Amino acid sequence: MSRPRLTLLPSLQELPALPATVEQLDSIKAHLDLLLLALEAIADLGSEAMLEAAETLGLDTVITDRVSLWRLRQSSPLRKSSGGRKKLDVEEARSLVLMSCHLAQTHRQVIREAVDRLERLTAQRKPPHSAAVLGDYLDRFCNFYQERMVDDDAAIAELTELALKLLIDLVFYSGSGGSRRLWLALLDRSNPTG
Amino acid sequence: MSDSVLNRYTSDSWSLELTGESSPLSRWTRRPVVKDEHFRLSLLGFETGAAPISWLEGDRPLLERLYQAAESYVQSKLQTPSLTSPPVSARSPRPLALLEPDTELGTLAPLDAEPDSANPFALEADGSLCHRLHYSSPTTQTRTLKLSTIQLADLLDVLDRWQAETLALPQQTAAAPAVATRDFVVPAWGRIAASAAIALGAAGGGIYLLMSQPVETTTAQADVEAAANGAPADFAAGLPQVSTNPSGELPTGSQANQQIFPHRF
Repeated sequence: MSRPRLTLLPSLQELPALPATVEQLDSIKAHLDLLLLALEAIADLGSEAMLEAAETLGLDTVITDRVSLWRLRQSSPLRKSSGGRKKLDVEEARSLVLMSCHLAQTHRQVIREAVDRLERLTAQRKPPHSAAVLGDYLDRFCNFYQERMVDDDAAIAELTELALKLLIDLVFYSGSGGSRRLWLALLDRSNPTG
Repeated sequence: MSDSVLNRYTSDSWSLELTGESSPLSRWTRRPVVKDEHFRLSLLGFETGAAPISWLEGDRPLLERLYQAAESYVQSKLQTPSLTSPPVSARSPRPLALLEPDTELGTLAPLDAEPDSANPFALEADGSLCHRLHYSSPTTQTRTLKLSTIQLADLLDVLDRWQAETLALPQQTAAAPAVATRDFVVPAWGRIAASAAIALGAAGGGIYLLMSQPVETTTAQADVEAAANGAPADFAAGLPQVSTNPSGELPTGSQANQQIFPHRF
């Protein structure tokens, strides 16, 4: 049974404006796209849900429509059709962070259920696919990845590990401080000295 | 005249209760300012139906140290690119294995390693999905709590909400322990806000005191000014340097073009 929760809708101003070089932004773009891929897979989301989230957060001036969302996501260097022609500025990256965390919070229950099942299965030394919620997630994630990414012949074991890592991360991004935590993680991950 | 306050933050697996006195400074701030804050942190048996375990009680500095330890640990885990990468934290005693089994969640066990002396709390990975939270105090034996990923996320959630909602007045006693907040991500915002609150309160109070007792204001104002002057430097040091962002104007698509874009991309 879900309990009443304090909903904190963060604003763009709450995320610190941190420096981002082209290399850092490439890393950020790739990771954000993967995180949204994981959200699509675990919650069976489409672009409409993302646009609704953007509108709820007042980000519809940055993520205006399906085309702009498509262009933002295609800016990932991992995408098959990336081609380097699409760029992503810091405000757009921050908008995607807020949108991702909002979606993670909205679909918090299924994310937690999946991670909970993963913990149980791991303790029992059973494969993740033994649980339907995880099996469906992994299947969708691998399919989406192979459809859209350059590295479409990645080993299933590698994709499974990536998918599970992203799923676990989503648990932490679905909480009250999720957007700040994701933003800092993106910057830290993209830091060449980090 | 101060009023006592009671705040409670709950998640599926944790309950955080805080008591303290509401400061009159609250009227000048957007968040309640609390002094002499004490907490009780309990682990809930949300699945087993077990009675809540009152795991820890203490004052605000202790809770801030727990937050610092948990925040730092989780942030280091989020930075790692994969499950098999070792976390940034040097406290991990062994490499992580993908889907390494974990058992006996929420149990207390003796600590097999000394935690960082700067913080009584330390976390380390126990397999890929479990974590061990160590707490050592001068008066009690070191305790270890084994947490699932969900429990760790819930702990951070209640701590995040607590940090977001209240400000604390620094304790004025000489024996108050110095809290290492320099590496604290969120308290950097808290410090600047708290310093602003102190400066605001001091400004109002200072005016009053200047009109009535000018001699006694000297020390208090000097202390407040020192705190206020220190805040911007700390704040600036806590944030990375500003740099120019590579801008890229994204062309906006027409409504007609939306038809060619798939539902998923």
